[in-house]
Amino acid sequence: MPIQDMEGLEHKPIPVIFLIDVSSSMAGLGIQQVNINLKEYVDALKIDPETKDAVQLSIVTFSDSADTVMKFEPVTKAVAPNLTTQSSTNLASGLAEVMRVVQEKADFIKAKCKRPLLVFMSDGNATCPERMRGNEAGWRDEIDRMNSDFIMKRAVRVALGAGNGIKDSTLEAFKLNETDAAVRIASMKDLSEFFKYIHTITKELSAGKQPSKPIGTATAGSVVLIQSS
Amino acid sequence: MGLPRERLSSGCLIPNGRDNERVLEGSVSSLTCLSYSHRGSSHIEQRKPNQDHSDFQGDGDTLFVAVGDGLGSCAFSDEGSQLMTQRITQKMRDFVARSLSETVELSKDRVLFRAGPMKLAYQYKAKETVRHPLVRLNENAFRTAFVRSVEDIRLELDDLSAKKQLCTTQVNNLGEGEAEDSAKKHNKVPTIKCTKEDFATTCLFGMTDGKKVFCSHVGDGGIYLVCQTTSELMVQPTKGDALDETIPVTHNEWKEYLKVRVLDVPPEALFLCLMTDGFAENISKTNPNLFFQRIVSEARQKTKADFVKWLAELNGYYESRGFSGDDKTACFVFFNDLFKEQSQ
Repeated sequence: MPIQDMEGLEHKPIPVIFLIDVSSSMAGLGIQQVNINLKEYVDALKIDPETKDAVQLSIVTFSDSADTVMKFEPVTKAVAPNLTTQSSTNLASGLAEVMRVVQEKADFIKAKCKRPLLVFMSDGNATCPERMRGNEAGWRDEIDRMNSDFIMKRAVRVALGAGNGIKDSTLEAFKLNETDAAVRIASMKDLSEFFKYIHTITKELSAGKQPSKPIGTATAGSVVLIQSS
Repeated sequence: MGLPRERLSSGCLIPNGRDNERVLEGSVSSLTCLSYSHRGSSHIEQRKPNQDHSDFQGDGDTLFVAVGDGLGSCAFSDEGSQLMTQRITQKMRDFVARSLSETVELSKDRVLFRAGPMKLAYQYKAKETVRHPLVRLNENAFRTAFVRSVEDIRLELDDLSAKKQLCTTQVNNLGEGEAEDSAKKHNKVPTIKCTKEDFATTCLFGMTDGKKVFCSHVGDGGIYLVCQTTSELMVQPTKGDALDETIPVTHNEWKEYLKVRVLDVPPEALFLCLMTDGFAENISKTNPNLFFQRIVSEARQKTKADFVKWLAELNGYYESRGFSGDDKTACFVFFNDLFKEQSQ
């Protein structure tokens, strides 16, 4: 007879960090789908014995500037936010904000957590420069900073491009390790497929397993196209 | 010297068809060792071997046990953990035998003739080997011997990696088809460069005669002393400075991370438990006793064979609740028999 309960065991926390584009191009169906799927993802993690005591959720949005909507919230207490859109796509500010949030909890993550999962979602190219121009931060500089950060270089990263408004090279820039993935969906209608994939790898990482590769059609480069079945 | 391998039975405790499990058992004096290991689901999926190994040796009334957790990312870490556990138990057994054995000269009588109360005898000197108890050993001597033994094993790993390298070179020199066949046969991708780091493993070691315990630990996992009402993590595991990473004995600075603990076995002690991280990392750091008292309770209610079955269920519990898909090994040294007797 299988063991029903075992006291004295604790799940090792796994930080899951969403970096979500809330620029004007995401308005309408885009942000609506993000909100619906994010809520379903959080609800599913809450009732899953493999994740309910493990996942600590952070949500950073970026548009004209970045905003931390949720910071290392145990998923059992997390309430999925209702995100709204703004204007531009300042990716550099979003990446810098992720780094700031992670640095605040660096000691905790190093000592107690599993490798974080970073999920980037966007439908358009950054409106900020790639490299620093004058006083304006470049998003590739911020990715470089992430790549040399003790915690974030070990994170599992998944970059999602919705539609064709974002270049493959932007999604691929997030990939550092073999476990990272760059994926694309043709439209926001397929976002639920992407979230199924994120749910699967959240469970895998929580159990100390290697994350699965996304299943879909390989496009040019290493970006995988995920479609509804 | 040491327990014959035949006594390390596994067939009687694991039913046929459970290929992902390994059990070792044996005993010296009143001490019983039982080691259970299960290949993790993540390794089954990736067709990787169980990279955990455990081994033990007995000498006189002392038991020497070791558990190693091969690092998942290293090509031959399963071989590394196997070699480490086998050799460290042998080397420490030999060290204790050398250090605590003393040859003394004794005067003895030899009777040549006896008639009633009368006897004709002469005295002669005889040499005898006396074995001192483990309590005579101090922490420094233990630490020094452990360090020397690990350094020797690291040299053995250097040799082994050189042989692998040679083997690889030979495989690479074969014709295309032959090289592929050889690679398939060994289930290894031929590597260009092989160093001892490819054999990276942790090492948890304990030796006890039931009165004194000597422990040493490099890497993650945990060594626990479990008593009637309390459980204690004997040394803090080394997680390295990184996430999901640790310091193996193949690391150049491994000595900096070595932790040693020596203590008298309290009268209420039940067992010593050496666990790899697959089991240990999810045990409550603040109250490990909750977990271990359940183990005590299960052991008391079960025969040894049923307890092994329960450990398999515990592995299943870890897997199904998302605690760990890693290989899991728990090696117990029971100070006295806890198990229910097998009914005839």
